Amino acid sequence: MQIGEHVYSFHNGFKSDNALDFSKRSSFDCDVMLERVYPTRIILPMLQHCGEECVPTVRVGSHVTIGQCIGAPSPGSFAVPIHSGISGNVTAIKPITLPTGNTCQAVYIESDRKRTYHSSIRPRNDVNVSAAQVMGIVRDSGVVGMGGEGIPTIAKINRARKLKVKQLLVNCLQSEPFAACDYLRIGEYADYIIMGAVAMAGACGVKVINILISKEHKYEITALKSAMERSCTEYSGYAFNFKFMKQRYPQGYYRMVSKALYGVELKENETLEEKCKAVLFNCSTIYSCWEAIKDGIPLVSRVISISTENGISHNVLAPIGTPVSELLDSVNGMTNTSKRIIWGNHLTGIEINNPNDTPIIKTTSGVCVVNRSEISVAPCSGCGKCVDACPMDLEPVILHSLLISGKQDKADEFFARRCISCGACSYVCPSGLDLTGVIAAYSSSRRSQVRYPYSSVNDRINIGGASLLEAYTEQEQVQQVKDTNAFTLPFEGGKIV
Amino acid sequence: MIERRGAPFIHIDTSAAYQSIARLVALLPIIVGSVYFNGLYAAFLILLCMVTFTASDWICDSIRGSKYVRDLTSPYMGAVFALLLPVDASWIMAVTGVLFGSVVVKQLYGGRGSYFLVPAAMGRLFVRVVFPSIEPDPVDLSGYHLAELFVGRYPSLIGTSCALLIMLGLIYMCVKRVYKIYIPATYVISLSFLLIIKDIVMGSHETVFFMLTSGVLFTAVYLMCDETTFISFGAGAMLEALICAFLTFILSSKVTGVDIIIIPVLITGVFTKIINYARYVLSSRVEDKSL
Repeated sequence: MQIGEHVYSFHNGFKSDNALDFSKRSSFDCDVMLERVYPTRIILPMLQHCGEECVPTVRVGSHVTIGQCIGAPSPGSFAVPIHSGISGNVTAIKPITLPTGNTCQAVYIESDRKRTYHSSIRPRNDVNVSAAQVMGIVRDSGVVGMGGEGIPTIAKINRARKLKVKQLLVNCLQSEPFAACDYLRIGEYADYIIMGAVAMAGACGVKVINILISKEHKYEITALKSAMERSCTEYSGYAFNFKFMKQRYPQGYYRMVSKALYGVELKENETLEEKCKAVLFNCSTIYSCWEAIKDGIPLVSRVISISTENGISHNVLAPIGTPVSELLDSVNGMTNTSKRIIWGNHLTGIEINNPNDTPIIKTTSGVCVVNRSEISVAPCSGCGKCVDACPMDLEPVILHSLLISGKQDKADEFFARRCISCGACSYVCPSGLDLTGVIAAYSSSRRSQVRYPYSSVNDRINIGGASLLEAYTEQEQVQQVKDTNAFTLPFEGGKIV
Repeated sequence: MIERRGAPFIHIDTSAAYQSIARLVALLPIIVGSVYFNGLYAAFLILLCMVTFTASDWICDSIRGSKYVRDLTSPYMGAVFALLLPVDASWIMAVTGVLFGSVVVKQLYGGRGSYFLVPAAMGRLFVRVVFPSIEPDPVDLSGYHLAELFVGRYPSLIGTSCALLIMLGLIYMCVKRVYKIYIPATYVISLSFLLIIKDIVMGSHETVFFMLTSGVLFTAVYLMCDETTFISFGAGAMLEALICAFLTFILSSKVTGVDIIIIPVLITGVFTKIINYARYVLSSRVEDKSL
């Protein structure tokens, strides 16, 4: 194990005001506490990933168990299966509109409170699995990027293999305020992350594993080091390195990682795999992969950081599909709150009005409750703090004034479409201008006009500017399915229904 | 103006209102000190300028149809202007300067965030031109002890004499995170460095005397903290402080009195706007193959 002392950062300019380092602000402390939530019902949307909608494999009235596949990708589609996190009865299958604006079918399951596992869920006796087996397990377990992008993990593996990447990067750089679910995973399940990283490295065909973490997280670093020492005999041939990164939001975003580690500024349609020969996985994603490999459990639950501005915050382990209202019931004083409820984190989340019918999905890492007070807005003072804060080196103040005056063409000249909607400019703006709202709306509308090809799908599918665009479905698997109305149920022995 | 909107749902605590309140509080020691040294008439002038500047901004905003922003930048600018006046300035002079600074320099160029010259400094220059008699005759300060110069016990403008209180204000602003210590530090250190070299070459010993009596400390703390005309952080701010120091050094042998305080600030403000404009034009023309 090599421990590099150099501290990397995408922000290499004059370190004038590190307002985006939330780790140094005491008010943003988050209790690292884990509590299990057992919801009375779950809502499982058929589109929880970046790609195409799954098809429900159950009917109203069906009894389902934990780990049972309830949504399968239609043959040849860019999708991953969806599994139930509780046992119970399917009460409805009807359309749902998620806070992201995506509308899809959703399976409503009422818990029978028995917590019965599916017969296919059993620990694996021999974890020395081949690369092909890892890929199969990851695909069938429905793992997607849990940092927020939701790209099917198998797609990333396929792309990494195709482009012959040299390094696997483990993203332990959660930097949004209050969000601590990744750090909880690292602290409590470091062994899973180390072994998961080895398995993923094997699947991607790389031998070098770089763990990206900031030095401030000493507890997590110690946990990872201890896990390496405990399991060093099981991963001979793989080299682990720590790459220490400066704590600054949004350091974990793949473009920022590229800029910090390799000095490469990725253009709109470029990827880490292609330009830097590295593949990046979130630590929670890696945890889920190893959980699927070792324990045989598909992605049915995740850790969520529930937080408020007042410092009441903790982490819960909840089945995917748990309604936000049931999550908030686990926090004292938050039941039937009159405050604003945010689906996601404080800087990038979306406000919701119906927590009873809004579930957490595979990519939801946080739920926040904020006071209803709004920011007082004043004209721009020209201080330029938004320019310093922008990780994409844009000029938010200029873009904002151009866009609100209807000069979209001019805004394009200032690269408005590069905006990644991180919210940093609005956060630091002393005048309280809604810079992110204006610029991000424009950039997302521009990006959605771009259509990207999938390698194994004939049509070109609009996925709103995601960066990693490789279909995971293998051609031969598609050909095996003769009946176009049939589905192969992942995690259930390849049963065709 | 209050508006309801999406993410982000938290905001940095140093808002515009917070900053302007902190800056106004940082002026309080100087205001109290100036009243102590110069009497109640100084208090009257300061209050008059603050009220007039605020009223003028409010009226101009109302005429333009934009809502007046209650963030205390107007009374701050009025107070800074008043502190640059001589003790015996008449109320007509004060009001004239304030109205020129508020209406012509600030509001005609778009109001808050849009002007490119510090209204207080430009208003003071206007008063200097329109009422040449306002300027006090140069006083021989060679008989004063260094400690007296440091605490401001010598004839000067209303609020620029007491280095001790100016530094107190600076410390407060830095603690409240509304001003970066390296900006005034760059200005003061680079100006001192140039003056020391001059002293060495000329065989004189005027650096300390100049720094304490010329009002440049007031410039460094209360004029250069204006975010609209000065870059407020980073290497750009330090470069600007260097330019301002160099201009002050050049002018130190050419002009006297309040000119040493305000002219470098005004020229630097213009220089900043030109640099910013050039930067924006250039950045929009950078070829980007990803588009």
